[in-house]
Parts: sequence; structure tokens; C-alpha cells
Amino acid sequence: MHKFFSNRKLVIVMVCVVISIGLMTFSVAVRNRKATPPLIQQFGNDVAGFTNTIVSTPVNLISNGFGSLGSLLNTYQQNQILSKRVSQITSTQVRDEALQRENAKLKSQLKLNDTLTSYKAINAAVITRTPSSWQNQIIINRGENAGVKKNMPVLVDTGLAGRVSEVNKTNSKVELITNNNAATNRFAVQVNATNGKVINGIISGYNKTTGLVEMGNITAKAKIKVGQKAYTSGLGGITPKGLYIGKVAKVSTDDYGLSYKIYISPAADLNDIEAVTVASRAQ
Amino acid sequence: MLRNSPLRFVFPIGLYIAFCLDGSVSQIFSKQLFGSQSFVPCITLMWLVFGLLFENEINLHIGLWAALIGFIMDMFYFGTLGVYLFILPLTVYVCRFLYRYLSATFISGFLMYFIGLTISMSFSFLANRFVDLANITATNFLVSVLGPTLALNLVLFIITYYPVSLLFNRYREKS
Repeated sequence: MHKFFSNRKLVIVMVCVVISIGLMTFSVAVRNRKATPPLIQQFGNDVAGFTNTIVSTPVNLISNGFGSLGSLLNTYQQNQILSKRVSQITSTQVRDEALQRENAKLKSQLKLNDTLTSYKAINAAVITRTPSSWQNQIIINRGENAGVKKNMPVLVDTGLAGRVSEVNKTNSKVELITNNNAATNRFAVQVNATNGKVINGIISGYNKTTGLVEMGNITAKAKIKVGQKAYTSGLGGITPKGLYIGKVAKVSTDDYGLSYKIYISPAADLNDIEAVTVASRAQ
Repeated sequence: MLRNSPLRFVFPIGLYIAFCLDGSVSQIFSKQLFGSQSFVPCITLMWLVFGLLFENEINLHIGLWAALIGFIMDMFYFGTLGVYLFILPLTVYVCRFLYRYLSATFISGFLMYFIGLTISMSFSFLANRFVDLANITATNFLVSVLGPTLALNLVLFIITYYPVSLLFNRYREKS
């Protein structure tokens, strides 16, 4: 025992391991309980975020240049397909406007101000991404100053992308829905079934090889068609209702054959995000 | 004379650029890098190993810089403190220990980086497994994370070895 403590290197190693575990536990506890990290960490993150843009902005510009060159080659084909859809969209838009107006009128008659569907949008650009295999996390250039709060849902133009996991003054971290870890907050999701019923569930995981999001904790048994749209249900607080997630790709039972599991193919391309919208529910 | 070598400023600046590039490369090539197999860029660690290889008689305090950049990485990229803060200095320590017994050639640098990468990736996996941030099994980690990551970073090492050695030599000669 005496020799054990006289060995200086061993003591250093032990102290380092203890400090490391302590710090890790501390940051996990802060992540679970507090809305923002400690002030020193926030300050450090803000400085790092600012200086990081000096490197990341030119790099992103170059890659965007290559990206637009690539998309230029596809433009003709895309134009042909899209021009066919324009006429459909105009009619939908007109109808949408009419419905929105009607909705506003009905709400004012009922004295309903904000329902589950209403939210304010905060636009942000992606600065960088966590270089990690298991933490699918991006860092965006809007933070507490712009009104971003922890746990707010984050959208890309095509659908739901993830959730704000840490807020600093000028930047924040976003955990994507492809994240598979236990600390991820899950989204409450709805899918329309064939008989007019609505199936509720929670996003429970992501399969890396198939690229499908799993929806578990399903309450009711009803027939669900492949291709149905899945969207957030607005239950459980901060997420607004009706954020589009993706289409149902497969329906199966879970490992024990007792409950359903729905596989959703996400609408957003979660490995190619340049700009995001943080949905802040009006409160 | 050696105390005023410009390398003492070039090395930290390069380290910070490498740190930023880690994130930017992951962001831009995320489609190619993070599919069913994960190719994690470790450019910061590569810069540290280059520092070890080319510092020669100049003392660059690489261990201290490794701890500092590890802390910034933990804070800014991962949000979990205390992981890279200790892993990067440990890797630098092991690499320096190995380097004492090897001749200063490209092959020994390659071997050092290989071992350093394996250590840093394995320890970060263990740490993340410990706080339940990594949700994959050890076999899965070896096959679909460590293997591809080693491949990517060793190729990067081979490509950048010669230009970086020129850079270090140039700034050393100015002193």
C-alpha cells in the first residue's frame, strides 16, 4: 500500500481519472437539469464560435461554390419537373390562404389566441458540426440573444431536423433526430391511420444502415398505410403541433411482437444542412 | 535563439486552424463521412503529432497546448467536459514515449499517429459509453467507427506529411 502511493505517476493518473469523471458527471447533470451551461462555459463557447467562423466561413463559401456548380448541371431537368407542379401549388396556396383567414376568424370568435400550431421562426446558419460518430450535433449561429431556448425544435426547409440541446449567448448546439443516445429528448409524433384515427407515439431511435427513424410507444392498434405523413403532435410542452417529419416507410411489430413500431423516412436530409429554422412556440 | 523561433507562434495558430477544420470538414462532407460507417476527422490530433515529429530541439509545450485545445473541443464541440481535456495530453505523452525508441522517419511518424489515433478514439468511446452518449457496442465501434476513421486519417497524414514538414522547416530556419 505504501508503494502504491509513493508512485508519483500512478497518483497523477488516478487524480486525472477522478477529475475527468467528475467533470463528465457535472456536464451531464447540467445538461439534464439546467437551461444553459455555466457562465464561463458559455463565454468560452461564444469566443470559440466567433473565432471558428473566421475559418469556417471561407471553407463553407468554397464548398457552396462547388455545390452550386453541381446543381447548375441538374437545373434543366429540375425545371421541367417543377414547372409542372407550379400550377398545382398556386391553387393550393390560394386555398391555404382562404383557410388561414377562415381559421383566424374562427379563432377570434372563440377568443383563442395561440393554439398548439402557432410558432415564431428564428432563422440561423450552421457554423460547424461535431466531429463525432455518435453525437450527431450541429452548431448554429443564433443563441440566447436571438431568443433561442433549450429544447426548441429545429427545422430545415423540408422538415424536422432536431432539437436545441445547449444554448449560449450567440450560438447553440442542435442535436439531430439521427442521434441515438439515451440523453436525447424524444419528440411526440402523430400519424393518421386509415380509419380516420390518429396514432400517437414517440420517436425512439434511428437506424443508421437503413436511414429510418423509429417511432415507438404506440398507444392504439390501427392500420397505417405506408406513405402516410408523420408530424409532431404538440403534446408535452415546447414543440408546436404539425411540424412535418417524414413519410411512413414500414410498419412492423417490436422485438417481442407486442406493440407496433413505425419506421419513418425523414423528409429532411440530415447530413446536408446549411441553414435551419428554430421554432419558438408562442407562450 | 531557439527561444525566439517563430514556430512557437505558428504551432498554436496551426493548432487552432486544425481544430476549426475538424468541425468544418465534418460539416461539409457530412454526407460522405457519416453514413453507415463513420469517418471521423482528427486533424487536431494530426497537428499535435506533426508538432512532436518536427519540433526537434525547440520545446513547443505540446502537452499543455493539447490540454488547452482538448478543453476547448470538449466545450465547443461536444458539450461534455473532461474527455478530450485528458485524452489529447495522454496521446501526446504516449506518442512522445514511443518516439524516444524510434528513429525520426516517415514510417515511425505514421506508426505513432496510428497508435495515437487508436488510443484517442478508444478512450473517447469508453468515456462516451460511460455517460451513455455513445449507444453502440464495442464490436460495432471497432468495425464501423475505428476502422474507417483510421483509414481516413492515415490517408490525410500521408498527403499532408511532406507539405507540413516543409512548413515547419521553413519557420524553424528563420530563427
